[in-house]
Amino acid sequence: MISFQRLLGREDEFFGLLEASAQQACHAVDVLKTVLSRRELMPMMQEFADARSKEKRITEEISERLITTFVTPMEREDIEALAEALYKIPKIVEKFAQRYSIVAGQMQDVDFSKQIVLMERAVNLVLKMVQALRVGRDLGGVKALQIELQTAESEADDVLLEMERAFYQPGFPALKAVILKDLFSLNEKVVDRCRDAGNVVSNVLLKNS
Amino acid sequence: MISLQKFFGKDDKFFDLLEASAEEARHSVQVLTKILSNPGQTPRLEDFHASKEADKKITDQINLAIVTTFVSQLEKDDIEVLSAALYKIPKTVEKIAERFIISAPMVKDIVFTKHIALLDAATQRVVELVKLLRNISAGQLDAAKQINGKLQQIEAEADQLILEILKDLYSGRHDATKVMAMKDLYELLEKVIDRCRDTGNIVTHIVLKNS
Repeated sequence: MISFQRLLGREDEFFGLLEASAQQACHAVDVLKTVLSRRELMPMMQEFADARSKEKRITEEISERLITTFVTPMEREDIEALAEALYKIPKIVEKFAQRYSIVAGQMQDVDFSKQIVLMERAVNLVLKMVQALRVGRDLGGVKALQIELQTAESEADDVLLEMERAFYQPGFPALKAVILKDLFSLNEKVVDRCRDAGNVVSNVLLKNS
Repeated sequence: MISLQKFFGKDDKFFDLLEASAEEARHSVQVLTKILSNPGQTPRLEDFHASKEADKKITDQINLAIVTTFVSQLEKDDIEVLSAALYKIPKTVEKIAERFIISAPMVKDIVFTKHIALLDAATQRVVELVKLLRNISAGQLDAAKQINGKLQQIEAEADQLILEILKDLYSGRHDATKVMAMKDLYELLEKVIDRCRDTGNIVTHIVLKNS
């Protein structure tokens, strides 16, 4: 027997997958926070890899379902763009963790907390925005979240500039500057990726409002 | 006389153009690997520029054909995305050559054997994947997934390689300027493989859509 629900689309499944994807992004930032707050621990690389693999599986599932589902709750391209944008968040977190793990010993005195606070704020805002898709129509609410996200992104730029200021002081060790520039930029990119995902959500809602 | 076959796009020139673009991307990497095998010799930027320009011409031809062709076996958006992804390979290779030239005194003693093997394998897989598209109606999903799986594996190896290299560069045994220059170069080499991976994902997605 042909199921009409199956043929006509399973809205809940798409929203569920997108939310799961946003939750994986939050989880990756949580793990990073734990690693950076307890320096005696070596980075739990497997946890980062797992978060990204789970996210990748979700993205692939979304991609396959887009092909096999007749009617989707939003335009296919939009779902695909959002899934891609969400996948990039844990991917960049994992990249930071990999780079950090090879220099952890030399970076014990470096404080990443300002960046972590902003990353946490940004991923949680992304999750709220993705959850808002299921409800739909609340364009005003989503726009407010997007503004908050853009504020976080702008603050992340300022924090990066402030942190990099030290590199240009006479006497700052050149190698440490190279390593830290790399690490700080990767952390800033996490917030950038969140901002990108937020922009996709906002555009999707605008198109469907 | 109007050829109906031509009108309906059966003489799909897109396959020829996409394959030519993939081959050009591979050619640019082959020029690069020759240079990497002999880092003591400073490369001529013109060789890389010619390869990138040749690929750009193919990309332009594809874009023109997209506008003028009535029917094609592949969706026009897919052709456009794939062609843009292929073009990024020689473009990144040219960038490597530029950096290689300016950092010549620092790279002359570096051994790039692992990179050469990965670059060669990745571009070989890209050519194989693009060639699958010609027979897309015969069901190529399994073959595409298998080749793409190999490409993902190559990309994972490249990620691991750069991490090992950075570990050495950050160890404090090297001069900071050299670290900066080499990090830049290695990251660009990794980017070429990332571009190949992106292309592989696009081809697999197209095959999946048409399966």
